[in-house]
Amino acid sequence: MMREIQFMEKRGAFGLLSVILFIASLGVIFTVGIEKSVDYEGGTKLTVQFETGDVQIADLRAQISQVDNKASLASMDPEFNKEYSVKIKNPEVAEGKEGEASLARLRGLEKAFGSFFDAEAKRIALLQGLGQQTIAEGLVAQNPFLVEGTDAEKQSTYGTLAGQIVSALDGEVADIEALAAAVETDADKQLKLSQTLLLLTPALNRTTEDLLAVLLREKNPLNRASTEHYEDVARDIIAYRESKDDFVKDFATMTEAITLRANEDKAGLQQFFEKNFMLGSFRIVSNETFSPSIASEQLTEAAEAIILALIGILIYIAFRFRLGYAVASVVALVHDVVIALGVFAIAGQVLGSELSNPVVAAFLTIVGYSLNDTIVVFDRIRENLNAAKGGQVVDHMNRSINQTLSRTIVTSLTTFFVVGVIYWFSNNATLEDFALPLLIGIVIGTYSSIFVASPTLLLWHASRPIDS
Amino acid sequence: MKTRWIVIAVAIVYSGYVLLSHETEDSWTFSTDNITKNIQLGLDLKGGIFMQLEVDVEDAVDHYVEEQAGTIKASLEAENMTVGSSDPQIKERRVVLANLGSTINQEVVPEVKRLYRDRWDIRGDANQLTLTLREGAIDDVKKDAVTQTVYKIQNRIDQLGVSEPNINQVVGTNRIVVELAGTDDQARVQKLVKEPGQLEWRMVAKGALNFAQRAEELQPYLKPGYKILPMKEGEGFYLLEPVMMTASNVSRVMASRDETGFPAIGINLDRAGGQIMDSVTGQPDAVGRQLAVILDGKVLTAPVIRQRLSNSFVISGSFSAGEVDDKILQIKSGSLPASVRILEERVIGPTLGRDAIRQGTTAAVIGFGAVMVFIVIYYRIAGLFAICALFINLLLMLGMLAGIDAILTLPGIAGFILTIGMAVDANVLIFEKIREELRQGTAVKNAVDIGYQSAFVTILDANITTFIAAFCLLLLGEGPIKGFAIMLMIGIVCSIFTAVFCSRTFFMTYLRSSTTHRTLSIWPLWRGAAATSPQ
Repeated sequence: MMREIQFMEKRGAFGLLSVILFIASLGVIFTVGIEKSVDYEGGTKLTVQFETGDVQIADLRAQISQVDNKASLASMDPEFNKEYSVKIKNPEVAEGKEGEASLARLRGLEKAFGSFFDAEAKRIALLQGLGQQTIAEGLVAQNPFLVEGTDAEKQSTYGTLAGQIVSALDGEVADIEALAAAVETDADKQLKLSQTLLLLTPALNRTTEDLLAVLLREKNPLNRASTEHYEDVARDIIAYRESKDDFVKDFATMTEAITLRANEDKAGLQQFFEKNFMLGSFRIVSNETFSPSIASEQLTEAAEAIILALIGILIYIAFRFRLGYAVASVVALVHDVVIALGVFAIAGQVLGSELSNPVVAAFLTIVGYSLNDTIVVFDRIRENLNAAKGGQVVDHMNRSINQTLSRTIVTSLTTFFVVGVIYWFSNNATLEDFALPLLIGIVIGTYSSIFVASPTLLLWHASRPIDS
Repeated sequence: MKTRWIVIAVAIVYSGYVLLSHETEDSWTFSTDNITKNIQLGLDLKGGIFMQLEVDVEDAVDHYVEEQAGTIKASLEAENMTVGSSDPQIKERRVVLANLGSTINQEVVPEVKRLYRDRWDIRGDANQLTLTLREGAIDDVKKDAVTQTVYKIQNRIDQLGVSEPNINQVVGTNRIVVELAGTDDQARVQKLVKEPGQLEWRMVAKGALNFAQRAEELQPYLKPGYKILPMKEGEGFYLLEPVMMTASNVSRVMASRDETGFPAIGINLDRAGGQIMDSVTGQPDAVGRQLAVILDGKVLTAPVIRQRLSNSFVISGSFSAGEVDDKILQIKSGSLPASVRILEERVIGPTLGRDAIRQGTTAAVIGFGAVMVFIVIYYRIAGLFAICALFINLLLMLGMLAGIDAILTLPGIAGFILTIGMAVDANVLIFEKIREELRQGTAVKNAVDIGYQSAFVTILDANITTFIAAFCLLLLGEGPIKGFAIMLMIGIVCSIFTAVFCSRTFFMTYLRSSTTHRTLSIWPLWRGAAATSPQ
């Protein structure tokens, strides 16, 4: 028989430790506070990926602070310097104008990103190359001013506008917005016009396969029959782009990689791309925007989910065991969640971790996991107490903890290990968001099922002695 | 025992079948390529746009009241009444009619009440009659505003070329969830979601119907203003004359009945619209021709003109009452725009999910491999059984994921990996109990039986609590977290089955294969040669 470790004897010391940790965590939570992510606070979180690692974080920070002075920047891959995430919390947005605001913000950031590659100058050059006829056709198709009426009416309105645009392009215009301002005075129309002009100058490296197929079908550069699609061409282009680290460098080699039908003209297709597309040296990997109203709603939902889970579990344990066990496990649970939150708050300061939907999901998992552990121990305590013929309750408890100890350690280790792999080896921000609170929770949950749950149960028994 | 193996075999074969076979309308294939087709990926993994919109229903009611002030006046005048003025009081949701009279000496007020009392609460006299929109009617307008917006977005979504768009009203709210895979062009999607529909009325040109497929190539040869649009489902094309009227000419669209009593769409036009209609349908050859109603470049309906029409007519044509309601909302979306707020917008580029799947798979493989090594070192033969159970567990989880059409999200991948770690827990519980029994000198077969029996209740209790927590996660909204919760629940169900049922079957078979089992290989390797039950 292995020697028993006297866990329960030291319950006073560990109890004190837990109380201190608990109070300290509460202190940290209420003084330092837990940073909330944009999904609970409202705002935008955007990840950008550059073609090269040449953009320095300080330069980029200077650029994006001009878009919004609350914008914060973080590198996602310090070793390659290609991916950055931008967060803008709680930007001021007029109610009902969320969509316009998010597009304006996106556009501002795109200009900031493009400023390292003269993207705006390239865009203007592309528009110049399109010519009045094509611009007019594009405007009629998009109908930015919502002109109602016959096609002839639309053609005349937008034909005139396209003429003005072409002559404005001959002068000095810095970007699309300046161009729109040169031909249109109304602010709302300016915005709609510049959005349409942006649609006319797509960047190949930022186009999805589906959209590329649609754009090609609209323009029909290979003179295919109207019922035919361009999915094959789009697929080839995207496959080529993926083979080149997701960035096409020039249209000539790209067109080479496309398989066309026998009678179709590759040179013509290349010219078409050069005329209608720009390449683009960055891509928006993801862009998430939450209005303040949906954010506060999600926070409430998260709180409700956690409270509901606690109540549900309490009822289940009270039903399966006795009330004392339920109370003790909930004490351990609250202990775990509060300390995990405290550690998470500190992690927020050190690693920049923020409370987000995945994090809350992870915390709920901690709730489940911590109980899992506690129940295994309690189950054994109940079994031993029921079979006990005399002896001290405290000794039976200690024996139960010892009997389940190796299981507790093995399970905690395997779980800790796989979650640790996610945290250290996945290189994925969302997965890491999940893994960190889980890691914290596994450690604390294991500790509490030995040092918190059982002593609490003992306290309960001390006030109500049980006889089996 | 035999039954046990059959159950296991069925579970494995079924999961494999669900994962590997793929059925389309005209073909059936069976290969590993189908795994990716059978497991549905969430937007966060395949890339796309998720939007949560809120239709401004109050605004829609405001629009409605404003529009009704004009419509009611026009309709009453069509019923031989005179209306001094008709003023909308938008905030109060009412229309005030002043100085009502009749050209044929009828009682005006009862007549107005007869016409409008179903939607309006009517008070006052012919000098000043106040029509207040009833609560029920307000709710109808709000409901319609949401449905109408859903229709509008659905109608024009193919402009984006996305496959399987998902546009749904969130039940019981004014919200609409739009999920579009394969696009990340926010500007394009916002434009499509927010702009009012473009409604056109065009005559179908004479004699032109089902001609060649190359219709769009004819476009340059058309007379100015003419247009070719497809009929529904590739039946051919309409050749359409220039636009005759737009949404601004339509003053009211409502459910009505044709002369034979079948459901029909009632249309009221404004004065200008009425005149256009009168002159077009008054042409000698007009009767028998088709008039097309087009929304955002799609022909909604193209009824045949039966007689000369003016500002009030019905469109009928073996519609069901439901179809009539749908068409009405579609036509209205061109004239009565409800403004839309964007509450939430998540745009995921195509590379993010691809990279995440790769990263997640790497993490899963490393984690799984390490757990396997550890378990074999720590539990030896018994550990091998646990690992076999773990493999079956993985297969069943994937099979279940595909089988119940659950959606795999990025958090779901985290849930999947987490479940690998937790799945061994059940086996660990059992094995520790068996070791304990062996230590006390119980015979091998009994020790195994006791281990499984006594651990089962504990496993059930422990997993049910995690299950409750996972279930509460479903409350965290529609997003990717749902994928995590579902994955966790799938994992719990599968791991109980594999760890308790499958691994026990392995044990039973192993123990029966030899009659002289005095020892069991369940002790850690580092106990060396003495790794047997210390009896």
